[in-house]
Amino acid sequence: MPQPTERLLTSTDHRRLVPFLGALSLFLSTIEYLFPKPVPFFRLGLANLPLLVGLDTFNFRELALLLALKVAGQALVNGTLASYVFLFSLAGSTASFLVMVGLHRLMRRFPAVKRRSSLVSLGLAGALASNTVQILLSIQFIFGPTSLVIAPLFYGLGTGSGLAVGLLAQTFTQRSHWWKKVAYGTN
Amino acid sequence: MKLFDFVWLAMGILLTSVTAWAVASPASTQPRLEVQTDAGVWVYPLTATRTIEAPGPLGVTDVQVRAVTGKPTQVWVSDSPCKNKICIEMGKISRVGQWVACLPNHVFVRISGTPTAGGLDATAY
Repeated sequence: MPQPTERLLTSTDHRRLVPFLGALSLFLSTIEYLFPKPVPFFRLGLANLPLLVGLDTFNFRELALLLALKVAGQALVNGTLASYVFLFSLAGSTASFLVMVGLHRLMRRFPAVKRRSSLVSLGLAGALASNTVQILLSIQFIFGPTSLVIAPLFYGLGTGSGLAVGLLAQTFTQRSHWWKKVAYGTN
Repeated sequence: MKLFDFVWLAMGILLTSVTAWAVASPASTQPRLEVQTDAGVWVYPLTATRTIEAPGPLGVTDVQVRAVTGKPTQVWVSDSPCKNKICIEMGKISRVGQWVACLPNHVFVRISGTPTAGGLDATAY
């Protein structure tokens, strides 16, 4: 996909795009809620999609705002806003966010890394970071060392869902004319 | 997919395999039921049918154990005060290494011990 060399959007356009993608996260959280969960507090990561596709477009503050909208939206849909399950979600999402943004910055800085990576890498890395933090929190605060039992299932499902979401994000950013127009102001 | 995509995919598979291997290492010879709550860990033999009431911050989670001669003993959560009831939806477990957890009520149910000969090494959902 030919990447635009400069952003043609104004800051106002950006401010409009962030809440739109936040709303999209809320919608995807609702879709995600329809799928049965094989493991407690496991998520498919569909709501991560707007964050993943926005990495190229937004700065850190805008991405952090999008993360906050995503976490709040998920908590509202799942009814966990006032429970400590929310803290698990917040910690997992934040870890995933920091790893994805960090790797993305690395890809920007080193073109050789960028040539050999795609959003699939970021999706997988984000999923693994989120799963690792949630397993560690579970070991520390909920079930103790017994929590390690859930780790294989968590990592297995996380790898599968991270791959699927990464492929989806990659395909979407490459093929969507709408996205190129709203994100970069190009066709 | 590009080179680093495969690297991350391999890392995910590696983490899954390593943790599965760590979990699969047996701790005891006879299969037994471990019920962990905030109050402690209870250990039961899998030879008798019983109902276990596991207390948690939300209330009591009911764990059923059904032992039938000639068949694997089945364990499942029949009732829980949690909201989403994922622990009930997880269904019945019967083999070493399988588990059911109720996160909101801090109840973790696990069958531990040495896997029986001819049994499965691992399960996938």
